[in-house]
Amino acid sequence: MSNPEEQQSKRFFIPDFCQTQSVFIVILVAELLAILLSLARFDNENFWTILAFYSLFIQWVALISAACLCLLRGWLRNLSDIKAGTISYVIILLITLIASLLAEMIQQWIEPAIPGTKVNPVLANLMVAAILAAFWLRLFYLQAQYRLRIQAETEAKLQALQARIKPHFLFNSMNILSSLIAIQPDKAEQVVDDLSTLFRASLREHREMVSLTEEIKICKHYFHIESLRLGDRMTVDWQIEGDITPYKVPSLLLQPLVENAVYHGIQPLVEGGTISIVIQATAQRLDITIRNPFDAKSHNDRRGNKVAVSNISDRLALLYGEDFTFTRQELEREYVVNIQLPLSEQDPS
Amino acid sequence: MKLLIVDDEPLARARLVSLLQDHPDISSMAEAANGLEAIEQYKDFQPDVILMDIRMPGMDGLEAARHLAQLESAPIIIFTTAYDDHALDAYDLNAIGYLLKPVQRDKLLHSLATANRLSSDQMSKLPSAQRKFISAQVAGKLQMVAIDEVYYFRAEQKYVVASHANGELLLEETLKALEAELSQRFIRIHRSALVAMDKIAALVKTPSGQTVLTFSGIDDQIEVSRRHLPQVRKTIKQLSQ
Repeated sequence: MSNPEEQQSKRFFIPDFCQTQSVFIVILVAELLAILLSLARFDNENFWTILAFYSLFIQWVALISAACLCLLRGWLRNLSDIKAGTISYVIILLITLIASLLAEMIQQWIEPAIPGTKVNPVLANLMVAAILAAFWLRLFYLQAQYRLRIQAETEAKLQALQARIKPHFLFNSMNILSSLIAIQPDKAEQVVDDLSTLFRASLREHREMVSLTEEIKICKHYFHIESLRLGDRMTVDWQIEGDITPYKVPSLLLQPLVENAVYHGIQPLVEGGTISIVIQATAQRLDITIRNPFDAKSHNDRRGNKVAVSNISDRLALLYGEDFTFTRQELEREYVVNIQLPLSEQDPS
Repeated sequence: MKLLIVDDEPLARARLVSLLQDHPDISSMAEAANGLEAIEQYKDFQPDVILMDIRMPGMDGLEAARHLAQLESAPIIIFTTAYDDHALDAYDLNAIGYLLKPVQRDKLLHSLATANRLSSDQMSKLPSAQRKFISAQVAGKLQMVAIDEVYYFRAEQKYVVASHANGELLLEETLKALEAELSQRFIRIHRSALVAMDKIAALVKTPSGQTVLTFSGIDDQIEVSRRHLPQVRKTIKQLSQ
């Protein structure tokens, strides 16, 4: 990640008016506004004079505003968005007011006004500035928000991808294959089958739902590979109660959890142990509990675990809203994960 | 040459065995599933070369190598390692020092042909996250004691004595080095004593005015120096919370 200051400036929604490019755009937009307002007067005879006056006035206001925002940028970007926005707004209005008053004085001095029904020009200028400044600030803000969201989404996608493709698993599988090809070629074939099932599953769309039966099948393929690697140090105990056929779960809901059970539970233990998976299905709810032996002492790398867990938690929240529970318990010698999901009529997504 | 293959994965061992089965220079092979087993096997089998996996449960390969380094006739160790063990790079082991898994036949044969002995100095500096055992050579054999079983380390004139559940072990390490390495579980209570925090029973004042520390499980008492007393009190207080 970049340093905080850099992040701040990236996050700040008002563009940097100190840059020549921004200044050029300000001039351009100001001129367009001048043309627009001149055209709106429908006065063919005096068009160029009117345009000249408008241009002079609007360019002054716009450039001075840009200069002020440029000078105050360092201070503004440390404020909250609302404060910075409000202050910028007030600055622009103040500059418009002062410029309008000055313009009015000059005009009075050149040709004394005809008092009458005309709208107070200062007030009119202020109104135009108020509407346009509010419009621009809002636009800048939305643009910045949009950029932020794109950034967050990209990061989330990247994280999801990283959570799915695990290099250690890939390398371990390659090790197993290279051993089996020499020793037991028929088993090697089975491992290739397991691996392709797992990779196919990992390439599925992140939010796709699969039947629970399918997800269990994927876990079993995974366990098959790991049982070759860990030998008799690992046993797996499945208990499935009730009818699970109507249940659908997000793809790769259980596999990362049983993978954690293997990597953080069984693998560091000399004597190994049993991973127990209990699935209870009623007509309305699904209850899944995964238990694995766990030695808190010999365990110091929990990062991988956290990534998988927060990923699953996010996905469940996205799919089920509030209507699910996902709990992890780290006991002295055991790690327990529990998930409870409702039966959904169709895909919740 | 006698070869010991150490890996926690049976398939990985089987593959190395099958690769080296017909090797003309290898007279016999033995297998072990973790560092501790490797040291056990070493006693009986006396291998010349050990192919040692780094990541293993219980005692990892680096720690096992570190213990074996104390032996006068330390074996040649070639580490085998998975993709993510960069630990070795930092320790400047020469290229034949380790093989990446899956081990390639050519590289394996090359390493065996040119197997260089790491100096015991190099081995004793191997990075092991945290040792689980202490070891010493006793009558030509390596004796291991789990650090969990140690009550205290006491500095004698030339040695450090580790007092554990089944006796004592003389170590050729300094109390200072042990303290630095084991500071999470051991506390200095005297210039010459380092004590396992989880084995402390109580602080007792003797009639002669000394403060001593007692243990749960053994009857030994160790004097707490005045300089260390405040820190010891604080630690005991924290532990009892």
